[in-house]
Amino acid sequence: MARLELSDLCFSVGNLDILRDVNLTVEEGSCLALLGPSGCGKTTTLRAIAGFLQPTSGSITFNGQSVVGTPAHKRNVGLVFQDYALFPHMTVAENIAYGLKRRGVAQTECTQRVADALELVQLGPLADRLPRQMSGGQQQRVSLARALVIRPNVLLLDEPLGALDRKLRDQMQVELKRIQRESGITTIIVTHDQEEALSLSDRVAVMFHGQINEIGEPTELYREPGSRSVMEFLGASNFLDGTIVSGGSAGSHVRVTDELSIKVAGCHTEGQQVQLGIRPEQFLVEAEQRAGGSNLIAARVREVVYKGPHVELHVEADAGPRLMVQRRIRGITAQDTFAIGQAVYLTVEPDAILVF
Amino acid sequence: MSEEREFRLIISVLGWAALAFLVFPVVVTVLVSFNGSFFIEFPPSSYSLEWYRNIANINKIAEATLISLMIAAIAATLVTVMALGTAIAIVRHEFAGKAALTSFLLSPVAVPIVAIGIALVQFFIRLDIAFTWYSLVIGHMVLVAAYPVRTIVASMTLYNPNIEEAAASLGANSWVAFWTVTLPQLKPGIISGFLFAFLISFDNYPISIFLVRGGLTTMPIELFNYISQNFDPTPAAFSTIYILIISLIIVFVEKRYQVISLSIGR
Repeated sequence: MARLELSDLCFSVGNLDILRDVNLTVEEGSCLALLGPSGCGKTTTLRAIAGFLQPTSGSITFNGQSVVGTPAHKRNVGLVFQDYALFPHMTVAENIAYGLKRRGVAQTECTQRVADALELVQLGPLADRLPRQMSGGQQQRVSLARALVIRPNVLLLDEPLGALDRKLRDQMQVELKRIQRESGITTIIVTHDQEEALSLSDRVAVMFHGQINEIGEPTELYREPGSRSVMEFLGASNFLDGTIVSGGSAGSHVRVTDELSIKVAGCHTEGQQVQLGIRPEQFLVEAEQRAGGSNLIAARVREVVYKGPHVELHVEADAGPRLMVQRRIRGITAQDTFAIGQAVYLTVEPDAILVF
Repeated sequence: MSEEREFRLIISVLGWAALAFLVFPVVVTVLVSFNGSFFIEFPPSSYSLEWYRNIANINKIAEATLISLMIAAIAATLVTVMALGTAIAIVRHEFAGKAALTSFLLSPVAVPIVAIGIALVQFFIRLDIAFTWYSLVIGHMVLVAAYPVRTIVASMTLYNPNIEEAAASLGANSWVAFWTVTLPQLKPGIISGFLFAFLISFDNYPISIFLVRGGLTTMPIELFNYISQNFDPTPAAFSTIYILIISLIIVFVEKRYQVISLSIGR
């Protein structure tokens, strides 16, 4: 186990900068998700930590000790690949024992540690199977056991749940979280799936174009992202352009269109051009106008998308902008269904609106 | 529905016809080898094992077969080792002239074998090693080089290169990773490539005919010499034994490594 630190990590191929000054610290025993769209450099970062590529500049340290220049096979890093990369000609037990054999662990201890690892991932009875005789979820767990059994300094997971179907992914998410907590190994999960990042990690680092854009705890990052791009990447959101027309300690008013003014929390400078970010679940949707709501927006339903636990409404405000709102469905006979073309009234609290 | 049946009928008729076409010469050879009379006739009117006893009368057959076996074993081994390196280079690495090298390596399949034989003999005379063991081995290596390259490239494209990185992350250096992970994955390609190379070298006539003189001779050459002077079924008896042994080897290797299916079907 180790504290992992990347400082000013750069990687370029020719004059193409793939990583630009990546700074990242993962505390001992904690789990960090590296989240970003494909091509943002997250896998490159992972490969640099594992030792498969040499950074152009910058440092990688485990517990303060630099590992730049240490070859991959001496770094003691556990790796779980998206396609698992199990050795097809070895049984489950042989796959798991591979790293122990390379370390010259004695036979009796090796057998014991393989058994423990199998138990940790709940695959004890399948020790003698070959990888091709197992399901994707089981292979995933073998791959995890193989990486954990060597007691790595750092565990690196590359899109660990990417190849699994939805239901299995949800199960494995819970499982992965338990295993990470029980083993207490410093972990980095690379993913492009925001839900995976938020639910698996203690902290999330959002990466764009080879740079870390923002790092924070999942709740903090989702609720109060520091920039529009982070908010946009972490779940659905609505964005409205506007100008601050009056600012005060009790809140500010933003003019979005001539007919639509929105009240937001916090004091902002008058005349400033801003962007408002509103999560779709922050709107309250009603079929009839009720008095007293703040930020009342009259709109018409343009599209209704049924999502199971909630319904997604695409609406067009009478004042112009198009918005996407979510409405949770309660009860079995959902009486309050919406029809296309129907008039609806949205309200949103000022403190649920982010101002960029 | 009836269209479907018609289609299946045509396909199975064609399939059986193709199979018969391939098997027929083998059946004829085997039957003729048990022929009772001196002349080759089909179907035989009487049966005997005489021609099997007569195999020993083919000039130098034991010695020539042994030489052929050794040439084939050496050429196939050397070529397979070289093919392993070549296949890794072709599949994994980008280098200048890669396309040219790839087509050059596969060219013996496209160039007439007789042309290769003529070229080789002129070349070896220049080098002053013509009509020796070396020239025979090198000549056969040129002939069979393409086959293991093909089968190993095929098995390399089938396997996931991430497993080597997985091995490295678990503490294996490049050599250990190669031995414990890469090589076992390439085994089907290596074995089938070796087998192809061995068999093609073993019964090659057109290259060998240019490269042998005097005491140096191979099995196909002596067999052909016998056929050109005699018209009895002894070569059929020899061929029957040959077919039997090769079939057993192929069945065994296929059962053990599923290699033939690797080289076909892609």
